[in-house]
Parts: sequence; C-alpha cells; structure tokens
Amino acid sequence: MSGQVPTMRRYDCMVALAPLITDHLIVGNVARTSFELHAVMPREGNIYTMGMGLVTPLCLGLALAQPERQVIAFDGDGSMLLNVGVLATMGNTPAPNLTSIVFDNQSYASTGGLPTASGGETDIAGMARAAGIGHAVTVWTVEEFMVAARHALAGNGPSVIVAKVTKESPDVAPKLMDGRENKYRFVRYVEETSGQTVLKPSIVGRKGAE
Amino acid sequence: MTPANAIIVTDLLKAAGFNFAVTLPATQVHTLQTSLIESPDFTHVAVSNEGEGAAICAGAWLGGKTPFMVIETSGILVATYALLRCHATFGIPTMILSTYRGELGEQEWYAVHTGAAIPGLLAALRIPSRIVSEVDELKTSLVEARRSMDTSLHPVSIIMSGRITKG
Repeated sequence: MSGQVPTMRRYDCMVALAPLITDHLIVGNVARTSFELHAVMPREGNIYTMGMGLVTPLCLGLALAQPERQVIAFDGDGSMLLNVGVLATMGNTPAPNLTSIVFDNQSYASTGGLPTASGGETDIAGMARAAGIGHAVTVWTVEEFMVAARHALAGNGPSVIVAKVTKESPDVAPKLMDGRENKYRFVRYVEETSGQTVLKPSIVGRKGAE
Repeated sequence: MTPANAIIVTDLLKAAGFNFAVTLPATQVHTLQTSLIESPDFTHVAVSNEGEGAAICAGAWLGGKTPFMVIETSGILVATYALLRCHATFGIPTMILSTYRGELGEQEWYAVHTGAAIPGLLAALRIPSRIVSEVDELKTSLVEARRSMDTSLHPVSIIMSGRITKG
C-alpha cells in the first residue's frame, strides 16, 4: 500500500476530459460514474450504467467493431476487479483505439464504502502492465490524468489509466432513461456517424433484402 | 469436431452473416475455433472467461458487427450474468454456439450436471435455443438464429450435439 491519499475528484477528471471528446464512444460504469458522465457530457454516443465487470469488455468489442474512432471505458476499481481477466484479453488483442479509465476510489463507494483490493496491496495499473498492456499508468492529479488521456486518445492504446480519486461525488441527478432507450439512441448515433447499419429488424432472409 | 466439419461450420457461419467470433477453447470444438481464428472472414477475440466474452460480443454488436461465441456447455453458466445484466437489460443480441456436454450418453461424470441444467437455464433466461444433431441442420438453424437476433434484439443459442462435435 502506497499510503498516498487521493485528492482529485472523478468529476473534475471528466470536466477536464470533456473538451477532447468529439465522436468518441463512451461507456459508463454503474451508479455515480454514469450520473457524472451524463452531467458533464450528455451525448448520444454514451452508454450509461453498464453492469459491474462488463464496462471494459464491452468497450473492447466496440473498439474492434469501430476501429476508426476512439472508445473510452469509464470503469471503476470494483468493476475492473470483478472481471479482471479482461486485462489479459486487452494485452493480447490489438485495439489501439481503446482506453479504459479506471476511476479508482479504492472502495465500493456506492454500496457502503468498504475497501476494494486496490485500497490495499493491489496495483491495477501494475496488473495491466503485467497482462501485456503497454500504456498502463496510475495518476493522482488532473494534470497527470490529462497527460495520460491525451497520449491514450492519440491512438496509443490499448491503454489503462488508473485515476486515483476521492469517494466524493457532486450532487448530480441521474439521467431519466433506461437501458433500452439508451441502446437505441446510441446505436442510431453509431449509424449516423459511421454510415453503417446496425438495426436490421425483420429483413434478414427476405428476398431482395440483402 | 472433425476438421472437415469445422470448415463446413465456419463457412455456414459466414454465409449466415456472422462476422465477429469470440472463443474460449473447448475440447469438442477446438478445431472449429482454430478454423475461425485462421479465417479472414471473422474478427476474432480469444477470451479467458465467457462472461467477458459475452460483453465483448455486446460491444461488437453495438458497433455494427454480428457476433457469436463458440464455447463449451459450462461456459453458458459463466456467461449468465452478462447475458442478463447487459444483453437482456439493454436489448442486445448475440449468438451462443455451444457444445452439449451432459446430454444422453455423456461419458464424463463431471459434465453430467452442468449439461443437464443448460436447457432449463436458457429457458429461464428467455433465450431461444435449439439442439442441433446434424451438420446439415446447422445451415438453416444459423440463418434462423441470425434472423431472431435481428428481430428480437436478444441472445439466441444453438447447442451442438455430440453427434456434430465428437470426432
């Protein structure tokens, strides 16, 4: 354990990152990470409230399917540790357009605040490097965070940025949208910005449809 | 699965419109998995956990791919959380192409109970599934699985009997 105490807020990292976001695809973790994502940069290209352990894997699939644009996971320490094998998959899968930002408040902050392993001896960025991910860093200030983010978003991924943040979260409202509506809006955004067709209801197999 | 059947199934998957493959090695389908890895027609990801694999497939679908997983029977158990929390919750399709360990005639004691639970588990997950016993049946089943993915926006499953996967 380093003994160093986080002082930056997840929200401030998002505010600093927002001016860099154009046609990026962003997937947010459960609870306040997604509330803050929606408050700072409400966009059609965001998926909110993805399940624990599924955020970074989903982004890996997105990055491979959309190789021409950057994909960002707004993950958390508890979520990453739930499905930590994805680091090995990232380390062995070429996805230069994938950045996983692990907002590491060293606790299960949304469910009572008990510590995660990263609040003890576990170094998530070290695990990522050992898994073969070339750009995996731990940052403690917004300035360090932005240096790492600019490098990652220049196509130097797959990247893992472990941002050590406080448990503090500003009082922002959750978005009023369920996963189904979120999915449709996101997919329409992907279609409009990529020229691809994702939704193909009732056409497969019909004569002349394909 | 024989190498010859592995090539046939690979071609059927391509013909049905699938183009994104996730695999985790399994005894009876490693030849198929090798064929998919070597094929230029599929984006392939090797995973270490079927739940992770299911989430990768979900992301691939959101990005415009038509994804499927080739996994062993017990992998469906591992993928259950992702299939509910991600696919069912958001309405995202994926095709699960699995072996059927534990079916009638199973020779390994450790495979019996996981396999026996699979049809009921898929029903509980409201995932349409079909047990296919002949390679020739796969052609229609894969096309229909793809059609169901597009219309239902929900996972589908094809379970390949040992009559296809052994050998």
